[in-house]
Amino acid sequence: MKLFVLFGAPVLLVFSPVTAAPPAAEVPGTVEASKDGFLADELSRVDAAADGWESEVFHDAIKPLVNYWVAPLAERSWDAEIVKEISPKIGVAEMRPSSLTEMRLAGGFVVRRPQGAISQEASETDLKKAVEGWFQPFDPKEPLDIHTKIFRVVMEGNRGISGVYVDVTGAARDQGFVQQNITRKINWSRNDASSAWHMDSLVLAEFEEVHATETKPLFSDVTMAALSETTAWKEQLRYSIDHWRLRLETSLSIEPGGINGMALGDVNGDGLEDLLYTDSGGLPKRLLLHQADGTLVDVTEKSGLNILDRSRAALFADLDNDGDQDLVLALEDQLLFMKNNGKATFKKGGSVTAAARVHGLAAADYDRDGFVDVYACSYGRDFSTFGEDGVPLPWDDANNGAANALIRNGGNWKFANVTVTAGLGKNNNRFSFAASWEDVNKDGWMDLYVANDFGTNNFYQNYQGTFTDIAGQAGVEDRSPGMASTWGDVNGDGLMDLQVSNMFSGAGNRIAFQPQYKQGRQSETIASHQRFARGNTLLINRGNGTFSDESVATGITLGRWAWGHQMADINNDGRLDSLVGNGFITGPEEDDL
Amino acid sequence: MWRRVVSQSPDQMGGATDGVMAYKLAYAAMSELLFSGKSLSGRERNSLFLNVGNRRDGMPGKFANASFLSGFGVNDDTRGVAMVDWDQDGDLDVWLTNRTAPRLRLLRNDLPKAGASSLQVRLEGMTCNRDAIGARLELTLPSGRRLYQTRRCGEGFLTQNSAWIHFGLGAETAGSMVLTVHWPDGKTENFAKLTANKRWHVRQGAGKPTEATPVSQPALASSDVTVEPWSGASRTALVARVLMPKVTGAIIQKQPKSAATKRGKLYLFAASWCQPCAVELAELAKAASTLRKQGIEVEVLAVPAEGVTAKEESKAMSKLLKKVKAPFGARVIDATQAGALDVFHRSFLSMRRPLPLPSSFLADAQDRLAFIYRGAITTTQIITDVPALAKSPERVRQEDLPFQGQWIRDLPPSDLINALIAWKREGYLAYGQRYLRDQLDRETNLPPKRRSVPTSRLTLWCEHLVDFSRLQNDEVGVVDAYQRALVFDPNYLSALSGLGSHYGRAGKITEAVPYFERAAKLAPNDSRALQALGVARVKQNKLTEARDLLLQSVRLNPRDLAIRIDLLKVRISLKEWQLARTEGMQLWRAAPGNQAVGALLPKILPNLSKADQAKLKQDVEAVMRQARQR
Repeated sequence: MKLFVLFGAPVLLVFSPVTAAPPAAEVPGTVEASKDGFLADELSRVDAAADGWESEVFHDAIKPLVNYWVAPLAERSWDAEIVKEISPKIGVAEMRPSSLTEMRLAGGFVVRRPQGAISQEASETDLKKAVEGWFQPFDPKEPLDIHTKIFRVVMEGNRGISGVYVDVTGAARDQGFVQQNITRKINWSRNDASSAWHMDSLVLAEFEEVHATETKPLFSDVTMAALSETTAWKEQLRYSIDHWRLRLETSLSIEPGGINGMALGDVNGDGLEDLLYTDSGGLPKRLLLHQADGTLVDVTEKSGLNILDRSRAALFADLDNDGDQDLVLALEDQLLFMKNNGKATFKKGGSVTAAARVHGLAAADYDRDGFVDVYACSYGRDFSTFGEDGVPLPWDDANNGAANALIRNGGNWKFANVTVTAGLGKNNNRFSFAASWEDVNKDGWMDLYVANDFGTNNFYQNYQGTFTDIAGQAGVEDRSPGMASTWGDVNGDGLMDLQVSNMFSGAGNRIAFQPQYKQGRQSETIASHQRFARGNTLLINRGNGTFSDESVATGITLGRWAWGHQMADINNDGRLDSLVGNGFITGPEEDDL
Repeated sequence: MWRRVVSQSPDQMGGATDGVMAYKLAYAAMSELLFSGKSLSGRERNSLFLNVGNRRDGMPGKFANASFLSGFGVNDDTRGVAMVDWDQDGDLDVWLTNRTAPRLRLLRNDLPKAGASSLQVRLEGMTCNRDAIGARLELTLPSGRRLYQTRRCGEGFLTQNSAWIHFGLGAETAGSMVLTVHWPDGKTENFAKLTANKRWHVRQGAGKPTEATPVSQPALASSDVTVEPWSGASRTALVARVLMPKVTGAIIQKQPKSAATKRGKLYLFAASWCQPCAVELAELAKAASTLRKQGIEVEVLAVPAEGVTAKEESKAMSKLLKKVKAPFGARVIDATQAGALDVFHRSFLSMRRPLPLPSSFLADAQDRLAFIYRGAITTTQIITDVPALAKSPERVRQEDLPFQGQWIRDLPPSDLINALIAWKREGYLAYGQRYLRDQLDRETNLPPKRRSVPTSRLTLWCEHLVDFSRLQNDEVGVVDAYQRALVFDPNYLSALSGLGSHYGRAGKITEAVPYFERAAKLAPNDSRALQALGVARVKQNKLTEARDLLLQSVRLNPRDLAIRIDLLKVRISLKEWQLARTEGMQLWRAAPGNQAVGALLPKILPNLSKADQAKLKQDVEAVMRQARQR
């Protein structure tokens, strides 16, 4: 009898070196010396064809054709004949529905949407006329800002269909600005596998037009006026994190992800809220005092907060109830509690070594003892390490993260980690980014929602100081790449609803829906992966302990690769709007992985 | 990312782990590509969705996407979004923190004043926490419409909003409103007579609100933001210093003798074919005597262009050095060294870009890398950095980085693991092996008390040496690496198991067994160690002992199929048919269709009773049927 033996040989990250052409010099006054290649196999697979993804090859082929259409449209130099040349048989349906209803919102916004069903008949062949109809609300002399995103492809043999998001923004024909949000279906064909794709027809699937009738956009950028004289700006914040990644070595905890936050609070009692910026390792946290003229002054050095350790988040709160704003500062694996002397100078009042890689912080008095407590989220993986350590397993339900911590403020600057005794040790091994407190069931005790990357979120109900995870029964698991969560009464019924930031991915929407993706996979996994590309979530509180997922119906899924968001009423109509910050990594190299 | 990473994620954890490695590798590769400067979902513009009101069923209607015409759609890789009425004009402004420049942005809300108004409330707790965090607010408007807010502390991603609660009031500008506050200590209180377009202080128990004095602010000018463009030229001070790899190659020009005490060495990467290098060499040549007095030796490392021989480059560089009168030592390095040193420099950075020419490394007197200068470097900068060469890591961290301030946490250990991983990944195997041996030799020759690196690190280095050797199919190197580990720690488990495995694979069971025995004795709860010894016992034909060891190993790690298969084989050898049947079926259920199990089950079958045979066959097929249905 022969036994086969698994004498455990470690598996290594091996990529054979290749010789690549040296890229152009990016350091002025130098030439590129490098002769070695980088990650040969994975790099070669960045090309979809080399990786054997036919649908992505189709996507890569039609994307430039869509842009070929769009670029001259944006410049207002579009010519129907040129389009005919690449798409001789093209027919289009209405490019802007003729019958639109109008809704007027506070702040001068007019929203136009189709009345009834949109015509799907692609019978119009006079492209010039169709495009003129499409752009009717725009000033014909002004350039347009047009972006497209191919979010779905279906391809079989020599026929293909693509779903494309198109947004067009520009000056209105009358006063103000217009933005069109369009979903188009494009039908494609080619003669054979070696010939080019032709656009056969363009059909409108969804259409929305927003007209801002004021002469100026709602938001104006006053960053320079507010900040440009500060040391923080001149030395630190006008540079991308990529700049610092070359100047601070990795052991100082500088990271590519730029996971930096901020806290607002009136630290000197002058009635104006000041700002603390948290930053990567080697870069000081910055305390910026709000002046009466709206500008800021950098007082970092004398504030006692010129801390260089990596910090991702901070909160101002009156931790000792003496009437000033103290500070909770998250470092890598500890929380610092800094006491304010009332004049914006801070001294360490306490610290707790708690969770690993602390990300989001959220504070509330969970045990109603009159002192504000803090929940700290821990992310399982460090963006500044590499290799396979800490890779989320599996992608869509990772349980190999790190433990979050509830830190109880016992008064008198005494802090203790009470996570387990408070019942928060359950399901506490995920990749948590952020948490938010709310007394959802109005029993007088603050409940806690935790947004986790790579899987289900937690919803801990607080029963007189002890927590139970009821995310499943409440229907708020939201199994997706959660980045942040906020509570707010979106529909004005007195019940707090929940928004969660997740990433929307055009690539994910294309790829996870392909038959090729499904080979050898469990159907639940496929559905789950598809869900992971969907985007933001809005959960409406039904008032009976459960929530209704209204994300798709409300159209807020398309918040891109979302990070932070807020639900706030930005046009003072008494309704909460949604503001989403997004984008993952815009590196020095443009091509997107 | 979706093609390579998500698609390869396992369906669930537990049970089979096939394919996990491919997924992990793809994940690591994606991270590495991001470190190298690529983009992933970059240039995405921020989104703003306007709430248009409810549908008939009371659920919110479809939000209107006003991202781009509102001025909110900037593409900065935004992370945090925070709301505050910064200019106290009754609407909410926005602060953004970003990954790219500018990393902080203020967008002012210029909402027209006509048509919609607001009011703002700042709570003060008396019998609850002073900030009244957790208080629930209900505002009743003249029309009877109610608005609901909560005072929170920490919202969204890594951000904290204003402490002022903002209520948009729509068109209800006239009349007075009632605010009901549910304080966090359970008390409820009504505050009457609030009016629009004001900021209100509401103190617990005060019975009525007081008006806050507004700070009227002039409008800040709006403008485009000017940021610093990204540049690849940089100076990096290393806190975690690591020994420079030994540079070899034909000497072009000898290092001139110097009377000064050596304080450091500047390695200048240059090439005869690189015009900026000639400029740099001429600059440094002018300062040659200054550098010598400072105790800084300069060595030019000439990098041949592709297709050019070392000899040709050597000749051309020699000519160049004479032309610019550069009295420096110089040698020509081959492509492997140039590549390996490039990878070495990148391993200290989280932005891993190819090393440009010219670039230089400044090493300290012990030849440990202390500064990396990408691009041309001035003599002034070198002179400024020389004192740092003799400083402790703590002082370098305090004094020589771009920013000075307090460090709270301890200094991380200086380590070369990143360089080792990078060399391994990039295929500099012989190079890395040699480097690691140099490092380990230095430490081995020191008495344990004088070693600069803790034992746990040294044994970890040995593990890496094992990898370098194994990747080159260098079995002698593997044995050497494990034996080096045992010099540092005679009870180092991985080396004991590793050496046992080495001899086991070579069929030298007598040599293997003592290592396995020591490993199993040191780690009686390590399933791998027990498995290894168990398998060795099988080879020694000590089957009962083998069974007991494997059984214990399975108990410690019941999910490991391989151990269970080993155990099953021993059960068969010992003719323990009933147990073999039960455990074989359990394995089959855990891994339907597993070939090894599939080969073993038929060996069990003929030794069972007729009834058991039929049952086993039936069970095996049922499992396959279920698997197919899934």
